[in-house]
This record gives sequence, C-alpha cells and structure tokens, in this order.
Amino acid sequence: MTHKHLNEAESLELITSMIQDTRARLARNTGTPFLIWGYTTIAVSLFNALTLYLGWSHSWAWSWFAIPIIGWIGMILFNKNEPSARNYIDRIVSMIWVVIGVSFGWLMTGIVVFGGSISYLTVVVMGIGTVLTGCVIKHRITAICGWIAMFASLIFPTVIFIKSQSGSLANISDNWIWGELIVFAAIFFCMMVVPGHILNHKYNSKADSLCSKS
Amino acid sequence: MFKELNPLLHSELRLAVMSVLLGVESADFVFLREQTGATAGNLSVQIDKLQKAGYITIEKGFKGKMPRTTCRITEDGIAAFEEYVTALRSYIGKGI
Repeated sequence: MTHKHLNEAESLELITSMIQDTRARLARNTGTPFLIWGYTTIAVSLFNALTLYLGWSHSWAWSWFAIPIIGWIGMILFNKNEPSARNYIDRIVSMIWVVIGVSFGWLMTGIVVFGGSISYLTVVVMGIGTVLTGCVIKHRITAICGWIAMFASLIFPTVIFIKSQSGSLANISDNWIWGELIVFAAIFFCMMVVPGHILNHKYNSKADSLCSKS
Repeated sequence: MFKELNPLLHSELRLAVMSVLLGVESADFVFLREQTGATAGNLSVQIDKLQKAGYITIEKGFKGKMPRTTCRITEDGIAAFEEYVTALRSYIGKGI
C-alpha cells in the first residue's frame, strides 16, 4: 500500500475492507482462552479423580494449584502471539474475567473458612463468566453453554442432599468422592471446551476467507 | 454542490490507517503495518502527518524489552473521518 490518491468508489471500498479485515483479525482465536482454561481444568480434575480412585495420598490435592499456573503461562504465551490492538469488546471481556477471577478467589476464601461445595461454587462463578462473555460477543452458543453449566451445577448440592439421607441411596455417595470430579470435568468440557472450539472455528475460518480475498 | 474531500484523508495509506484505528481502541505500529501491508518507512511518515493534523495520538513505550508505538484515533480524527465519508457519499450519490 502506498499514499496514492484514490477515486471516491475506491476510497469507500478501502474503508469497508479495512474495517472488516481488522474486525476479523481481532476476532481470530477468540475461543483460545476458553480452551486453555478448559483443558487445563479438565486435565487436573481427571488427575485428581484418578488419585482419589486409586487411594493415593491427599497431598496430591495440591495439584489443583497447577490450574492457575498452567493457565496463566498459557495466557502469556497466547497474548505474546496475538496482534497488539484492542477493541472495546476485548476490554469488556477481559474486565469480566478479571472480576470473575477476583470474586472467585474471594469466595474460595469464604468456602475454606465456612465450608461448602467448591465444585458447585466454581461452576456457578465460571458459568456466569461464560454467559456474560457470550452475551458481550453476541455468540449465543457460548451463552447457552454457560447456562447449561450453571443448571448442571445443581448436581453438586443435590448429591450432598442425597448423601445426607440414609438407606438405598448410600451407594451413590460411596463413589461420589472421585465421581464428583468426573462430573466437574464434564461440565467444564461443555462450558469452556465446546464454545472454545466453536468460536475458533467460526472466527478463524471467517478471517482466513477475508485474508484470501484480499 | 459537492463537498470538498479532505486531502489528508484522501490518500490510500492514511485512509487505511484511519479506517483501522476507527475500529479499535488502540493499535501498535506492527499491527498497522501488517493490516495495511505498507513499508515501515512509508507508514511512519504517514502516521506522523496524521498526528500533526491532530487526527491520531502516538504513544511510545515498551512491550517487554521491545520498543512499541501505540496509535489511537482522536475525537478530531473521528469527526474528520465522518465528514470525509459524508463527502464521499455525496459524490457517489450524484453518480460519480
């Protein structure tokens, strides 16, 4: 591109294509943060389910801290390769997840002190973030996945209720120690991995087609 | 009566830069160079012209150890761009 003068039609065409290209490029890899956090959480959850199933030492529970460490390293590497431009939507989505992250840390402190279901709380809080992100980027499937996850989170208090009952339902609670983490991983798959892949497929193919046109 | 087209914007590269900046809050020099496909020297000259006209602001900083130049469109830049598009439409609408 040079600084040559254009005719009126060429000018309008250039404006339109530049705006479209920029929008498409910024939307590229929108789903990758979902995939980084989703796959990390699923892997660590399944690992912890395995340690519980095999009856390993409870010290392995420290491996939960691998989620923020791996997640942040993944995000740093991801942001390193991303274009250095931000639009309004990027900023809003970033702020949503900062607030969700801080709130989550705050609530976890309360749970540790006063007790409660960590799985339930985690899915509800992350579900809220997913729904809000879906609404802001106007992607219905992402919002629906968030709602499904929040609805599915009711499994956890339901099982706690069942565990409190004696009788024929007691067998369920025996396997729930590790089964809870399998359910937790399955919910994260629906809440983060599914929309992550759909978002990447949608926007990356859109960006590729615009690039090949130009 | 046709409206006069702003000569500063009626140039391929400057118009491309303004169009990119209109859709983002900020963009760095590398992003603008990749989006426009311009050479670094040419882009630098055109960005400087837009800054002198008050259409964009330029902020020099660092990203890690690498120097980074971040550009933002100003209120004056948005107003000039809107005026330019309105003028363009008046030409197109009258059959040119």
